Amino acid sequence: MFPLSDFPSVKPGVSYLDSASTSLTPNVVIEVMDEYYKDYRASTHRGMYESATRATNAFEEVRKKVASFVDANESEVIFTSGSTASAQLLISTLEHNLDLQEGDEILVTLLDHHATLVPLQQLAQRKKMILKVVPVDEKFQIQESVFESFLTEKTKIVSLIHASNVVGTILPVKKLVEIARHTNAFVIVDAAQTVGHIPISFKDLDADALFFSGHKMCGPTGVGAFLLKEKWIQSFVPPYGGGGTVSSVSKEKTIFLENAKKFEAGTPPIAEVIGLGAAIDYLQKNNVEKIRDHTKEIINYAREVLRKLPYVSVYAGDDNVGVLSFAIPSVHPHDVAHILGENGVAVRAGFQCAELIARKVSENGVVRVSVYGYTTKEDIDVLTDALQKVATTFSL
Amino acid sequence: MSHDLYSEFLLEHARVPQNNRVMSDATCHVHVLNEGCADSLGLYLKMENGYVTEVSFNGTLCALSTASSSLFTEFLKGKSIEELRLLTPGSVYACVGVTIVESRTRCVLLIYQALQKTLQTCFPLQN
Repeated sequence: MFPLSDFPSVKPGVSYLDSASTSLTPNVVIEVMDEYYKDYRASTHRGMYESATRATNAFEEVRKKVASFVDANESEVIFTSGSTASAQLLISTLEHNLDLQEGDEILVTLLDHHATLVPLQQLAQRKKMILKVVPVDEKFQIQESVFESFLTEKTKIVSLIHASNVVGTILPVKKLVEIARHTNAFVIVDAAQTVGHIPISFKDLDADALFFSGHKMCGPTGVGAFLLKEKWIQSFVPPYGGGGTVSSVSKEKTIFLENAKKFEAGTPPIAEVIGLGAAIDYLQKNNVEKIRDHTKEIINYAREVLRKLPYVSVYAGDDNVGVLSFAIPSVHPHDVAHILGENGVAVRAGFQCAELIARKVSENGVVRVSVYGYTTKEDIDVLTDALQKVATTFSL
Repeated sequence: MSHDLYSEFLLEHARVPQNNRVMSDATCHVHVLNEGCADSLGLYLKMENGYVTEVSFNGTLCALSTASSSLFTEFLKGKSIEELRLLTPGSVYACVGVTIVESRTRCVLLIYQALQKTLQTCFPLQN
């Protein structure tokens, strides 16, 4: 799939199976960021000099690329520092702009990541709202009928994770949004694990907002995008003000811009946005559908070989984005991950910032395997060999 | 020091830890959390005339936390409050007897963190 030579951090003797935490970065992304710092380092949207114009053009070009990549309008793209920042900004915006009353309801799923779950839980506490959690079935999927049964006329916000960062399940988000539309709820989609991994259309999903991070899709850290439907961009007042968000400020009042920039207070992560643009180019060149097919093949192979190990319990959704978790009941996940690390396998252990689903499958947490376009079946074979060392160490 | 974190010696303490129990009549009892993995450790101390007469720990812990807690609680027995105050992370490393890689120091020192909390909570220094 991805040529390994594109990734300078791919080292011999290391099988990187932690892409759901952060993906590796291809040279093309590093190069454009380097070029910005070396050749036209300047702020965007302000200076009248050549490098500032070049920086602004490069930055705004990425807004177009993001819009095209996820099938949204350019005017719906807001840059942030990543998914967690997007979730905070969005939820804070909702608190300031929606009519949220005591007893109103917020719906989340058991698969939701802390990035969304925690601020929504805090919002519920502040507003005396009720947070309801939609459970998953035995295949870690949300059943449409169960989801529907949780919706009421009091549901004001619905949060859906597009794909679980613990068990990899891809949710039928389009269908769930359609069902949620029977209420007046505002629908949020956390697409941190899916953008750049499977084809996505913001228009087709029809959610009110969707966000993702650059660093999980071959881009740099410290950048993400949050898509907000045009009607909300127009009508919502931003929760934070600052430079770049206003059309005029007097002693008495501030008039905000009427476009996405009203949510982008302060100097943005310019180099990182430019890097995100290069990541999108890279993914498009490699074809996201082919990336999806590749990760599916690798994760299915991983599931198959891990299930053959009698001491391992595997937790993975069927329609899968490239993530699975496993546990060895008598061994702490950090001991497993440590021994795997010593044997050249990079995985993550613990609750994966999604404690509801992680604890449901294994009370002490799990070891997570996550793959991407650069992962090979040989990496999975190295994992299974290293697991044999775990088995030997703990006499399994 | 050996580099084998999962030596048979440590694994034996992980499998059959010493002092691994709840102490209902402890003089002092604290809980600490490993921020790296959310493991929780309880440390129980019974003191008589300023000396540790009984010590125990419990919790959901990895092999290294369990082994270091087992060894370090053995080491704490019979010590005075003043002696407890003088202990350093190095005292735990000495008990464990292997070189600890940076990514696992939190695990091995969780018991030391619990001891520090015990001293601050139950035996604060008087000005």
